[in-house]
Amino acid sequence: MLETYTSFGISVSSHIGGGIDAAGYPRLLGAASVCIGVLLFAGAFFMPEPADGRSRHGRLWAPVALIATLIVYFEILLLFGYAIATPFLIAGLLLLSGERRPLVIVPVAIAVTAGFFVLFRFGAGILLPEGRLMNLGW
Amino acid sequence: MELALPFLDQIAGMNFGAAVIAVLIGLVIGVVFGILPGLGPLLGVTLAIPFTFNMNPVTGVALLMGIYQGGSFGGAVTAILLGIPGTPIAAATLLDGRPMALAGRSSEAVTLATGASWFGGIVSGFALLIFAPVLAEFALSFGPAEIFCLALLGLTAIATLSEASALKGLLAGLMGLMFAAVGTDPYTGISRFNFGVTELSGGITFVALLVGLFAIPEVLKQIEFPARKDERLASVAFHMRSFATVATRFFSYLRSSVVGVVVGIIPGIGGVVSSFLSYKLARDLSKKPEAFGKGEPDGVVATEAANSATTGGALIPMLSLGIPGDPIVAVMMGGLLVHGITPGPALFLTDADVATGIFVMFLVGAVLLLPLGALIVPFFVKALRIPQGLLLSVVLMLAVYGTYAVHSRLFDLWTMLVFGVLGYGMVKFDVPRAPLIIGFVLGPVVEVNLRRMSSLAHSDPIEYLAGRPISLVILALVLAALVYPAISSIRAARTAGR
Repeated sequence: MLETYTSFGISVSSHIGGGIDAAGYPRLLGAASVCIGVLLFAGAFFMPEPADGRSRHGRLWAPVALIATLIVYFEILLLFGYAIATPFLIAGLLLLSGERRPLVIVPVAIAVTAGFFVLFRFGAGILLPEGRLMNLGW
Repeated sequence: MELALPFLDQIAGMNFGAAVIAVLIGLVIGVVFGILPGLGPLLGVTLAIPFTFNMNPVTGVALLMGIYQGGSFGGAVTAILLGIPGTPIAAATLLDGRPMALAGRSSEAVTLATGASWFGGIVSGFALLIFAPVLAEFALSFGPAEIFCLALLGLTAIATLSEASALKGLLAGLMGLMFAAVGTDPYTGISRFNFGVTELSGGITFVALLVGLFAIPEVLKQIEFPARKDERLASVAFHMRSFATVATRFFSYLRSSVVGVVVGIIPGIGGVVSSFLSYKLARDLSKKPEAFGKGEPDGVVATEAANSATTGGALIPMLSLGIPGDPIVAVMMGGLLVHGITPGPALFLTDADVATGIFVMFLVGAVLLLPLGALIVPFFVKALRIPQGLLLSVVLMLAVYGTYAVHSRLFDLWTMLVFGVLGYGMVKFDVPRAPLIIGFVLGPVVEVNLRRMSSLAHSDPIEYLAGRPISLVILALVLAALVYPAISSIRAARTAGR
């Protein structure tokens, strides 16, 4: 609360000549967040929400796998560029969505990559990333 | 405030044709996103924002408004045909629309939804045209205290009135304000919270935060909970006799539209509340209330007219006061800010042509919704058959490269991913994401005006505020928005206890 008061700091002089300074506003937000956090904790401790019986989690491994795939994708994108990295991302996403047929995964991955290349490069004028190690020179 | 005489010049001067095409494309995209459960107009607007950067501001906003209007209507189609609302605002339409479909009256129900959405959109377009300039003129006299209090009201209302946990909403709003503080101090230019990262010296990229917070969690959720196989879909055609009810039941349409506009103006309420409120009102005033819930056409009309009218209502406070009425409008406001257009009272002085263009394009979108709905919805329904993997690939690609397009740097993709993980966590812990976006958009407004107010107040903020009655009224509303959820919780707990 003391932090809140001094941050709101109407009576505290600052380098600028009165009022809240550059650090005061974020401190105020931080103090307010702490207060709300305390209230949330107290509420959860003293008045926990009853279980509603619904299942909150499905295939938790799938979102984790997709996040990992995206991390790898961004690294490969940096090294090899859009055209080489993107089909692997699409293929990975199709696998995580339950598609198992290679004759579907490979053509769809290539088609989506090519389709979006046309859309982004020629439709929206977006220059797609080129790789540091290898690029196809567009 | 002059609007009528320059009106025609401003239409002629703004590349009207390009803006109309943008609205049409937006309506199509919006209807598709509205039809597909789990996507919705918010995601559509989010993904479209980067593509508006190279457009004229009015054309860009026309695209976004088209998505908003189309998405508000599109959710009704799946609510009627599948019993699954494509968007939360279509939940009330399910009450009578689904029974109509089960009774073999799908075409009637979809046509009623189309006609009501069209009517509600037009009514709210005229409300926008009339009230936004009036409110803006009144707000021109506002000083830093009033503007700060209004921003606080917008943020508090969105945080506390629209979600189950008001405290979680407030926490999300504070997080948004904190993220907005990253970069440089608006007064002195001092760098803060950039942790030595050069790319953060200009602040967090709005699109990366937005797309990360909304698009990535949707993809993650749909991966976690794969979609069921679709039911066999009924074919749908335009039903002229149902459309004729616009004339025969004119006052029902009008009443529902007015409810939607009024609710839309109030920040934090939104289309879900307006549609249920309008439904309840229609049932209470009906001569046959027992028919509601069993396929009563007035039920579909009441909900769809209201939720479509909410779209225009929500734009009124955004354009005239700079306070977004709902999350989608907050995203649109971010889109305008990126173009260098600052919504608020001064908009009608410095960028009157942009304001007028937005009004015109909203009305154009509302009018075009009818032929679009009548001609194209039967084909769009087939979008429900798109395999989930392909759909998610498209969404993910739009998200990634829409974000990349802003600055052409991989850092923004990493930012998007970080916020994507944060957004997914927020979904898991039932923390609403909309207040975070609104906090981020309003953050500069809150900080600049708070610091101006503190400078003007010198050593006595109480005396300063006491001399500004409008600020006091707005602060009273903020207090009401904070207290109301607590009172509701206590009442609910007592009722449950009995």
